[in-house]
Parts: sequence; C-alpha cells; structure tokens
Amino acid sequence: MNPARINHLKSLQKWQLALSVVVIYLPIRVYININDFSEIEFSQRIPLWMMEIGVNVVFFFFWISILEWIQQQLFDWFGQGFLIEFKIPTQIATFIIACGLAVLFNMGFRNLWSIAESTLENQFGLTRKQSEVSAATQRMNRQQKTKTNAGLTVMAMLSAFYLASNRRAYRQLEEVQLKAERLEKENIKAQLTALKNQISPHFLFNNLSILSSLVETDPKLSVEFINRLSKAYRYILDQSDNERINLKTELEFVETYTFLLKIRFEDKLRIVVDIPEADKLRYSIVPLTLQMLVENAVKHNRMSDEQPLVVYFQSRENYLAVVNWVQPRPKNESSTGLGLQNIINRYKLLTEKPVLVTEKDESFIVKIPFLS
Amino acid sequence: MNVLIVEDEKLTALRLERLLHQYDPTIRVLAQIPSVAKTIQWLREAYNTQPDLIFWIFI
Repeated sequence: MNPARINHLKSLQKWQLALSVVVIYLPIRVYININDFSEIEFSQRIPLWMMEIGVNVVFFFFWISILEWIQQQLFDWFGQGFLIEFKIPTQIATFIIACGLAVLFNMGFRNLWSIAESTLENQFGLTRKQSEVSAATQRMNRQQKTKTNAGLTVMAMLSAFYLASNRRAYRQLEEVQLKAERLEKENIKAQLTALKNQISPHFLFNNLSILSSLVETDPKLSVEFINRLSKAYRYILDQSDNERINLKTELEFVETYTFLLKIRFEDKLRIVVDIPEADKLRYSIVPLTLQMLVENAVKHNRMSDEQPLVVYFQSRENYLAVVNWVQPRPKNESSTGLGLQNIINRYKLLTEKPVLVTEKDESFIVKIPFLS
Repeated sequence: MNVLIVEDEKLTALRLERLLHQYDPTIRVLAQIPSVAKTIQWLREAYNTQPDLIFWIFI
C-alpha cells in the first residue's frame, strides 16, 4: 500500500454516510422552516419532502466526495500522516468551503423548492393557506430562515466531514493493526524456519562425518556420541516451536553440543560457564541462542592446542554475556552474518532490551538480555 | 609414495590416512600436522623426508 494515498471510502459507504447525516439534519431543517404546523397540509407536502430528501442525500454524497478529493490533495502536498484532516488549517479550510457551499446550496434549493411548489400548485391544485401575519413580518421570517438554514447546513456538512474522517481513520487503524499482527506472525515463522534450516544440514553433515571416523577408532565413544547427537536433535526439534526456554535447560543442551564439538576439536575448544545456579533457574532465553553463538565462535576463530578457543558464558545484571578472544581464521569463510542477525531479530520481537554485539580489545562479546 | 597430511581435526586426518591405505597400502604418511605454521616448520627440518604430495584441506 502506498502510504501517501488516503484510504478512500467506498461509494456505498459514502451513500450510507450521506444518508445518516440527512436522517438527522432534515427533520431539524423541516421543523425550523415551518412557522405554524396548523398551516400545513401534510399529505400535500410529502412529495416536496421526498424531493428534499433526495436532493440532500445527493448533496451530501457530493460533499463527501469533494472532501476526499481535498484530502487527497493535502496528502500529496504534506506527505502522509493519516490524521492530517484533524489539523487546524485543514479544519479551517473545510469550514470555509462548507460555508460557501452551504450558501450556494441553500440558494439553489430555495429556487428549486419554489419551482416545485408552484408546479404543484398549478398542476395539482396544491393550496397554500394564507398567512395572517403581515408582509413585513413574513420577510423578516424569511431572512431569519435563510440564515438558520445556512448555519444548519454548515453544521451538517461539518458533521459529515468528521464522520467521514472518523470512519476512514478507524478503517486505517484496523488495517494497520491487522498488518502488524500478520507481520509479527510471519516474522516468527520465517525466523524459525531459517533457524531450523540453518542448524540442521551442517550440523548433521559434520557430525556424521565425525562419526564415520570415530566408529572405527573408538566404538565405545561412538555409542556415546550417537546418544548425545540424538539428544541434541531431540532438543532442537522440541524447542524450535518455543519462544523461550529456561537458561538451565539451554545450558544442558550447550553441554551436549560441546561434547559433540570436542570429539572433533579435542582440547582446542573450551567452554567455560560462569553462571550461578540461581540465575540458571531464574532466567529464560530464546532457545538455541547459545548453541548458535558457540557455532559462530567455532566458525570464525582459529584454534590450536597452543591457542585454544575459549568461550565464556557469564551472567551479569539482566543479561548473559558470551565472550571469546578473537583469533580470526587466516582466510575467513564468507560469513552471511545470518546466525547473529537471526538472534537479534528474534529478541526484538520478545523484548525491548536489545542484543548487544561488541568487538573490542580483541574480544568478541555478545550480550543476550534475559527474558524474565 | 610419501605424503603429508595437514589437518587440524585429528579424526579427519586419521580417516584420510585410512582411506589412502585402502587405496594403496604402500603409501607412507610422513606426518599429520595440525597447522600451517607447524607444516612450514616441519618442511624446513632437514632431516624430514620431503613429501611427494601434501594433503591440505583448508577452506
């Protein structure tokens, strides 16, 4: 949707609005315009009133259409902001235009009315009872009526303006809300899918390749390896639908994951968890966050027996810090940065607190906010 | 034939050696070396037999 376009009302909605204004406006108008109810032959007036209803509904429909056009112009000049119609200059402009149109309408309508009245008189013998009041009073009455009618029409026009604005704003709000909800759902879905796809193929391929080496050299360790691998997979499958997980559970998974990695890297990789037991139970995080960070560290850093890669997990106030010394691989794999971005995006949906990534003094720190 | 295996993951190095021997049992693996620096050092040592082929699995 182009944001600079206003949310146009449908034709049917405009008719409805026009009708709902006329339903209130017209009885008042008729009431004001009749001096003495005893003078009136109601049955003879009905055709005239029908005409009045028709003309008024058309007029208000026309007015709402004009409003839409004016608002579109304003949007084009001032850009978006769908409440622009509630700004004071817009309101003043609308008021002035409404006044002009109301005067024109009432002049036109008065002519139309007298033509219709005299036609009825001539052709169908409609009679007007003679009023007993003097000509001067009649003229004064007529002037008064003209003013009242003009004022009333302006009021009705303005209420049509606000009703239309209101309906449009409401519709826009509904749309925005709907879109936000849909977006959020899709985000979560997309990210989970990405996450699953990211972890599965590489993880499986690497581990199977290790297993095929291990199985010949150390059958006993292989059994352990298979058990841990299946445990890790169980966790990944179980958690991929969850938004959050207890820190303790995630750390247990990291241990399993580390076991698998250490078969491959031996003492070149070390994971140090420095988190009080109380914190492990108290806090939650997004599942697979820590695994992804360890995976990242392994992917981007050199490690050897002399210079092992050490990844520290530390709990600080309200966040978990994952720290490692940077020892970049000589020829780094072209990184898509997808893993880290994925973590950042998922946290954005769940908490106000951001995921902070800092790289300074040769250390790489990712701060993961705790989900309380 | 003398070969040298440069590979930092021990299991992978062992596997490669096994595959080589399956193919030709006479292939002699001079050494498995886990890093580039150590490989250069190893090659500079005069008493080491120079390899005919180096397996260097690096990204």
